[in-house]
Amino acid sequence: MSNAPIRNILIVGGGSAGWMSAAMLSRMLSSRRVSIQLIDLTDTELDLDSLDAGEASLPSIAELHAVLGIDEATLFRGANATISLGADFVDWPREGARAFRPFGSIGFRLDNLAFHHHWLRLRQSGESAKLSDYALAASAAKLGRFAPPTDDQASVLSTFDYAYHWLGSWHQKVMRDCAERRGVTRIEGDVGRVHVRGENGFIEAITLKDGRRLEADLFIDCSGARALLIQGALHAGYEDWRACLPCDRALAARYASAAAPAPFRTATAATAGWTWRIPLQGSVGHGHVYADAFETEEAARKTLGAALEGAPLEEPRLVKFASGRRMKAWSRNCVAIGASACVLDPLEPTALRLALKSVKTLAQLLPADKNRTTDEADEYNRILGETALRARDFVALRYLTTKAKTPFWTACRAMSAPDSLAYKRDLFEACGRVYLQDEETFLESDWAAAWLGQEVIPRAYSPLADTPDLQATRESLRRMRTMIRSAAEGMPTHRAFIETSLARADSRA
Amino acid sequence: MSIGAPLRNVVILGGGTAGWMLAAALSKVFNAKGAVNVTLVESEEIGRVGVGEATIPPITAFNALLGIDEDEFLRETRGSIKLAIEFVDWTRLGHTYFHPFGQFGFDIEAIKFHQFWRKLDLMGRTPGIEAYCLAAVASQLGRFERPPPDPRSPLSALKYAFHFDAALYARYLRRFAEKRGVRRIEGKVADAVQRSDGFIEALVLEDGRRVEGEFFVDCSGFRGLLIEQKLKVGFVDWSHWLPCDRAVATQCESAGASITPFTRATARKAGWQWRIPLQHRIGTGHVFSSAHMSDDEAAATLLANLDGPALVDPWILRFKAGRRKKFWDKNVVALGLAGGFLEPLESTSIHLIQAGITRLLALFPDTAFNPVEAEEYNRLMTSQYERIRDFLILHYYATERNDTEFWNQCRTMSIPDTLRAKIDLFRARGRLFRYEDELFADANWIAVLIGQNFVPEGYDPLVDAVDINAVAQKFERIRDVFERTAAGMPTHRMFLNRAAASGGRP
Repeated sequence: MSNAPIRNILIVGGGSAGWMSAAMLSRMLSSRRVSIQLIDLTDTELDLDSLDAGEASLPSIAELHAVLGIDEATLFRGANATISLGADFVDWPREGARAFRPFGSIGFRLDNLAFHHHWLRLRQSGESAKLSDYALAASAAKLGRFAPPTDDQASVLSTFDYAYHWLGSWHQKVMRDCAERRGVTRIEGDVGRVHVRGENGFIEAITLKDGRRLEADLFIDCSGARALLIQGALHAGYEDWRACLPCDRALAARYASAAAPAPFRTATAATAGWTWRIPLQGSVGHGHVYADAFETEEAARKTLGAALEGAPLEEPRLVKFASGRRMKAWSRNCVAIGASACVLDPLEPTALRLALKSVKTLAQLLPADKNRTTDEADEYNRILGETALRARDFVALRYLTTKAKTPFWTACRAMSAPDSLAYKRDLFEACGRVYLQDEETFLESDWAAAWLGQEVIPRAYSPLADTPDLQATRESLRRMRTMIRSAAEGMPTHRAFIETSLARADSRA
Repeated sequence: MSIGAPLRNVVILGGGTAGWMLAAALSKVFNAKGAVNVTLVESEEIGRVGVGEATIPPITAFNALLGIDEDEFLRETRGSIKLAIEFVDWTRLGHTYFHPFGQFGFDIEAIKFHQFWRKLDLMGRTPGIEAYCLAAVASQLGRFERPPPDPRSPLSALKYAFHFDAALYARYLRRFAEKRGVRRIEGKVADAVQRSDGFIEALVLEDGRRVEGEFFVDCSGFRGLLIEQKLKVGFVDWSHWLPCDRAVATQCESAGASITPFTRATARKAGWQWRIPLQHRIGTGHVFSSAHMSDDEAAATLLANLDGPALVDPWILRFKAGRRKKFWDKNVVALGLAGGFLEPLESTSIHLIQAGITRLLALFPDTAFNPVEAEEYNRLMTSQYERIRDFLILHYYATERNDTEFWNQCRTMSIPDTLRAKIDLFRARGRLFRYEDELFADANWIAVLIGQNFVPEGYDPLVDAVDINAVAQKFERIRDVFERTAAGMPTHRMFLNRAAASGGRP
């Protein structure tokens, strides 16, 4: 059997998904003779990705920069980045409540049992320490301190993880530079027509509005929620998630701030949604995500205005969105990456993580023959489909379990959870067990912290937690807290860390 | 959802390996509370099915849960170390490979080790993949040393399990459990009393005594006295994929040969033979398909392939591959052979008991018996059994043998879709997909797939982005370090002597 290998890839759309895909593919396929072109669309609409009021990420994003060979100083300088040690959830699940969700471990595994069981046992016996008191990321965040984790498994400094906040448009620029340096050709234009071959439904070419015709073996649809190729031409189907993720508007702005940036983001529950606060260098991004059916634009502007701690740098910008996913993100010879594949309420910063996993999986499953893609596409759709659903469940969890009495939150509590999430909740409530499915983005401790943060408390913890003597557990947890606190206190401040990192890069240059 | 009062009385029916493992675990876990009474009913008149004498590495976690000292454990059970299974004549007659414990090499730039191995293999620049697993290298040299906790030592990559005398193991665990308050009742169970909703209320013994409880664990073996005879949950039959339905077993003298730190599984005309070395003897048995071979021929084959004189007359075991439709129904959980049977080809019998125990502890019910706990337990155990089933089927299916009707049937059978998907993915480009909560990890699948010559046609395209000469040098260093590390270990016999001499508990 002779194969016709893929030689030309056409990415339709720049933006964060498009440029990240271009950079990653040009790196990962560098040894194969594949040429990559990118159509930088000019007629794009503002969407969640291009709001540009601070973008957060998850720890696994470090892989992106490692593969591309981008060092931290480039992110600090080129993308206005700051460190993220987690998220502070304020007023969830009720006004006045507060729970920090840290990156990395919470507590240490004791007696081969997830930490939260020991914590639940002590809580039952009257101990008041919070779950986040056992996470180094949370302790360092509260003190505004940061130093990178070590690899030494024996050290407490290896128990936490971190990610970044950055200015989306600047980060996109870093990705674009990287892609163009590696030979990706950028074409400015807009899609006029998509030509589909009659015999097999594969995309043959795209004609731009100015008449230029671009052919390729593989097309990557990064055109955003419009999904010009995957839906517009291939009708790959769509699954609407608004029944469990009701927010459909985001309003956002930045204001200048000379204060030291906090190494964490904040998500505060609001009357009909929530607001974010993402600290950058020299400015802070603020956004308000809400449901149009429950809050007028005027009221939303007031909500955002009240949250802003300074004068906005520009007029707050409004985008409409809908949470949902493409049923088959890979169809024929077209793969959708970014908002064309999945849009998820940004309460958890999953967008770039999902896009990165998409492009990596695509590279690994790149078909040997450009005309036969079914097996690879099936496997890809299984992996990315599961990934999207599991991330959706994690975000939906907070909407379903918030206790505020406003009409919006009352309606949220009446929503029915997807079966997979209802099962997870029943199990956690019954015995504190976290059910992890295939392709989870969030880990056992993330789920446990989210449920407990939302005051979903198991009726029983694992009987294994009762094996050690209560006093012994109390003592080892107390030692853990002390060790974590003193490790956090020994770190430099977040601001000092960034300044040192930049100064070191300058002295190398 | 209702919240019930905590369980006070747990009754275990049957005192084989499953019954005593559970009794030991419950006595350890609930000892601190003293709140749960554990009663075990067994009869010395009922024979044991002692096929599970070889184990896999998770057993060390079970020992750790109980707080068992390993040297003492080896002494008490006349046990030995297991680093691998040697498969003889499976791929084709005259072919041998190891399925070792632990990883092959290590990943490079987030790309799996076996992908690089395959590229070098295609270029003719590397020996077989076994050279990159410390357990396989040590197996070949007959050596062993307990790995240190220091993760920087190459020895820390070594994974191991045990061979032991199952009867001595049950006796050892019985002492452990009884010391911690488990009550043992000698007697044969005649019947069980059910409430109107089907829940079991009490066992009735032959002499008329009643043993009451709130929660019952059925460890009665194949018969499934509670789970099947009372609750009639039904059985899922897998014998069309795993046609072996009998075993003839015996024990023989070890004839003075050195004691191997691995189990051997030798394919025969209509099945296979296990060989499990203990300190004082060798346990061996011949698993076969009664549709393809008579009991007499099976026994003759076994007796013709012993290391030394037989110590006991061979005895026959009958079984059927499959599982209960529900492992947990109402207030009954079926553990061990009462829950299902998978032949001991990958030494999973004791592991399935352990898996049942750890999941039961995690989902321990209260008197309200919330259905979500039983549902989750059934889901988890079903997936454990099914994934192990697929792994076993692979051994029969991935063969070139065409010398008997049995092997022709195995080689050409239609296999489960879940296994088909795995094989197809791997053969194309070496990709592995691990199902949630699957016991056997990538390395196990790689060992058997490659061992039985289901080698990938290609490899991950990302491999080409890495300088292959640098990789080849790394590979050479790994082989060198493993060879030197293994050669520096004591022999298996020396290790066991040291364990025997180590005085034990003060």
